[in-house]
Amino acid sequence: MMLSKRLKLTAILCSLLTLIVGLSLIQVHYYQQQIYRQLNYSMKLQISIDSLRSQLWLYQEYTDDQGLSELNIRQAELAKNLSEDIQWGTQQKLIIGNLNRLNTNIRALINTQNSFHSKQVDVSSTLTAERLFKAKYSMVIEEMTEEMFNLHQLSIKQAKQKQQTLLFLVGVVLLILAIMVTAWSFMTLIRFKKGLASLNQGMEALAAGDLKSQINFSDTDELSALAQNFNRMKLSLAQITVKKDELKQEVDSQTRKLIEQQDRLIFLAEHDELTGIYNRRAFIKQIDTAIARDLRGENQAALLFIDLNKFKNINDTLGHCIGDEVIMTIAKRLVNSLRATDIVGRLGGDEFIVWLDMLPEPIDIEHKINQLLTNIKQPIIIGKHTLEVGASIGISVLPEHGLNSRELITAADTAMYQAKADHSIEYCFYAGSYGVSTLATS
Amino acid sequence: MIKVLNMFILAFMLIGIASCDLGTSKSLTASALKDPIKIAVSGTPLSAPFFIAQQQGYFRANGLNVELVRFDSGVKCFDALKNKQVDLATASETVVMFNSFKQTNFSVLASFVESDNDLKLLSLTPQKYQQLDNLAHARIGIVKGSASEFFLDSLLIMYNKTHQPIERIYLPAEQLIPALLNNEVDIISAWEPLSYLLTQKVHAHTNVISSRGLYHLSFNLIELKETRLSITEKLALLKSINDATDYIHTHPDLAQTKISRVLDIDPSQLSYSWNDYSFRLSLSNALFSNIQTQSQWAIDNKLVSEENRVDFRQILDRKLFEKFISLEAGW
Repeated sequence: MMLSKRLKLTAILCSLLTLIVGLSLIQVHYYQQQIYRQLNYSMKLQISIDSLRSQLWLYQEYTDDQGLSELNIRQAELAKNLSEDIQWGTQQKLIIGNLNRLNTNIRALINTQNSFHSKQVDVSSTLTAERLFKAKYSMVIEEMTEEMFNLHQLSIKQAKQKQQTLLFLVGVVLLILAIMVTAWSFMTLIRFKKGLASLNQGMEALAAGDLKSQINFSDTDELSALAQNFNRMKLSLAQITVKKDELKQEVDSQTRKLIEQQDRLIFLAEHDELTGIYNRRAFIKQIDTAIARDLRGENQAALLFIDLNKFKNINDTLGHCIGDEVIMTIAKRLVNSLRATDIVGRLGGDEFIVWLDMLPEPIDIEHKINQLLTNIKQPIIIGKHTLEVGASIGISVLPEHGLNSRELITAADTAMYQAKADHSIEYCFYAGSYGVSTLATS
Repeated sequence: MIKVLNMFILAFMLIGIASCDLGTSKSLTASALKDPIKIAVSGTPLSAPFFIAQQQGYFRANGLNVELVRFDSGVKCFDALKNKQVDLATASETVVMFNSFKQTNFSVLASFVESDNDLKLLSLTPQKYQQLDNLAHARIGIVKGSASEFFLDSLLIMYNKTHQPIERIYLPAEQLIPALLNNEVDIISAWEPLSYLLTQKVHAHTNVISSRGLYHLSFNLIELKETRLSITEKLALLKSINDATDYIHTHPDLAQTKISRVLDIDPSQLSYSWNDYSFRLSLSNALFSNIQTQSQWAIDNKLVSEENRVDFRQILDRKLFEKFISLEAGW
C-alpha cells in the first residue's frame, strides 16, 4: 500500500476516533441530562404528593371550602406534573399512569365526601364516614408513595444500565479504534523505516562500487517505487560500465590484431612466404648488421650460396606442390643444421643463402658444408614419393672475399656457378675472377 | 496486515465475551431437585404474575421448582394453605382479614396485584339508582360476609346512605346474576367477571355508579409461619413474581394472550378488566389500612367477634419484603 494512502488512512482513523469521542461525549451529556431531568421530575412529583398528603390531612381536620380549594389546587398541580412528558420508558409510563389513576381515585373520594357529607346531618354516620375516607386517603397516598419509590428505583436502575451500556460500548469502540490507529501507525513506521533502510543500504552498496546487487522490495508504495527506480538506475549504470569495458577490450583486441597483422606484414616482408626463412632483402639486411659487427670484432664469417640440383626435374614431373614440399623440407634441414647465430635465407626458386657467423680461426667450414650437404641429400619422403636432391654451394668469406653483403653474395654466387659448372665438385670457394680456390668432390 | 487486524478484533471479542460472562453467574442455585414448592392460586386474571412466571420460566431461572395448584377462589386457596396442602397461597385482603380472626399462624409476604374497579353495583335499571338515590326498599343481592357486602356498606357510608332502609338478600356468588335477571333483586354487588358476564347477557349499561377508586381489591401471597421454605427461596419467589410483573408491563398484549390461553377465558373478557389491574409487588400501610378498615366493618356488622381482633402487624412479613426491596435496589 502507498505510504500516502497509509498516512491518509491513519488520518481517517484518527478523525473517526475524534468523531466517536465527540459523539460519545454528546451522548453522555444527553443521557446525563435525561437522567437529571427524570430525577428532578421525580423529586417534583414527590413534593407534589407530599403536599397533597399534608393538604389531605388538613382537609380531614378542617373540612371546609378553603381546605377543599387548597386540595383542588394541589391535586391539579399533581395532575399537571403527571401529564408532563419527559421521555419515560414503558414501565415508567405505567407507573405514571398508576399515579394518575390514584390521583383520580383521590378526586373520586373527595367528590364523594364533598357531595354527601357537607351538611353534617348525622354526627355518628359522619364520623364513620370520615374514618373510612381517612383510611381510603391514606391508602391511596401510601400507594402513591410506593409507586414513587418504584419510579425512583426504576429510573436509577435504567440510568445505571444506560450509563453502563454506553460506557461499555464507547469503551470497546474507542479501545478498538485506538489500538487500530496505534497498530496501523506502527506498521506504517516499520514499513517506512524498513524501506528507507533498504534504500540506504542500496545506496551505500552503490557508493562502494557494487553495481550488481539490487534492492529487494515486496510492497507497492512510494519507497518501493523509489527502490525500483534506483534498481533501474543501477542496472543502467552497470550496463554503461560493461559497454565501456567491452569497448576497451575491443580496442585492445583490434590493436592486438593490428600489431599481429603488422608483425605478420613485417614477417612477410622479411621472410620467404613458402619456407618462413629470410628472403633476400631481409637476409641482406641481417648480414649487413652481422658484417658490421664481425668487422668491428675482426671476426671471420662465410656466406654460402646454395643451389639445389635435380629440383627442376622434380618440379616438372611431380608438380609445384611436391616441389614446394621439397623446398620447405630443405629449408627446415638447413635451419636445423645451423647455429643460432647463423642466418639462412631463400633467394627464390631452389636458391638458398646461408651466413655462417663468427667462424673460429683457422677457418674450417668444409666440415660444416659437408654436414649441410649430407642433410640436404637425405631422402625426402612425400606421400608415396621418395625423393633426393643435391646441391651446388658457392662460398665467400668475410673479410677475404668482400667487405659488404653485395660483394660477398656476388662472390658466393660466382663460386656456386663454378661449382655447378664443374660436375665433379659440390662446393667451391670464391677464388676471385680467376678460379676456384677450393674444390670439393661429390 | 489484514490478518493482524483480524487478530486484534478477535482478541477484543474474546475479552468482551469473557467480561460479559463474569456478570451472569450465581443465578441458578440448587433446590431444583427438591420437592416442588406448591402455590395455591385462584383461576382468575389476578393471578397473572404466577402464570406468566411459570410460562416464561422465571421460577426455574431463579432456581425454584414451583407447582401451581389452581382453586376457584381465594377462600379455597387459603383453606388449602391452612390444611398444608400447599406451601403458599394467594388470596384477597378480605380473606386475609376474616382468617386473621381465626388464626395468626400465617403471614402476608406481599401484594402482587391491585384493582380499584373490581367490585361494582349492577342493576338492570341503573339510571333509577344514580348517585345511590331511591335506595329505599331496594332489594340488593350480596354475598354474605364478603368483599361484596363490604363494598356495599362502604358505598353506603361514603354516599351517606346508611339510614336508607334497604333489603339485603344474601346469595351465593353464582346466584347473583340469575337473581338479577329473574328480578328477584334490584341491584347486585358483584366482583369481576360477573360484571362482564352480565354485559354479555344484557346489552345495556348496568353500572349503578362509577365506583372506581372507592374500593381497592388486592391479591396477596400468603405463607404459614411454620414453613419449610427458606428465606432465599422466598426471596427468589418474589424475584420471579417481580420478573413476571416486568414482563406483563413490557409485553401487555403477549401477557394477555398467554393468560387467556392458560385460564381458557375469552380474550375480550380478559381485556374488559385488564386495565383495572395494577400488577406490582408491594407491602405497605395501604394493605394494612385496607385490612383494618375491613376488619372494623366486619366487627361492626357482627361478622366477627371483636375479642378475636388481632394486631395486623403480626400477619404482615415486612422484613422479608424490605430485604427483597433492598436486594432489588442493589443496596
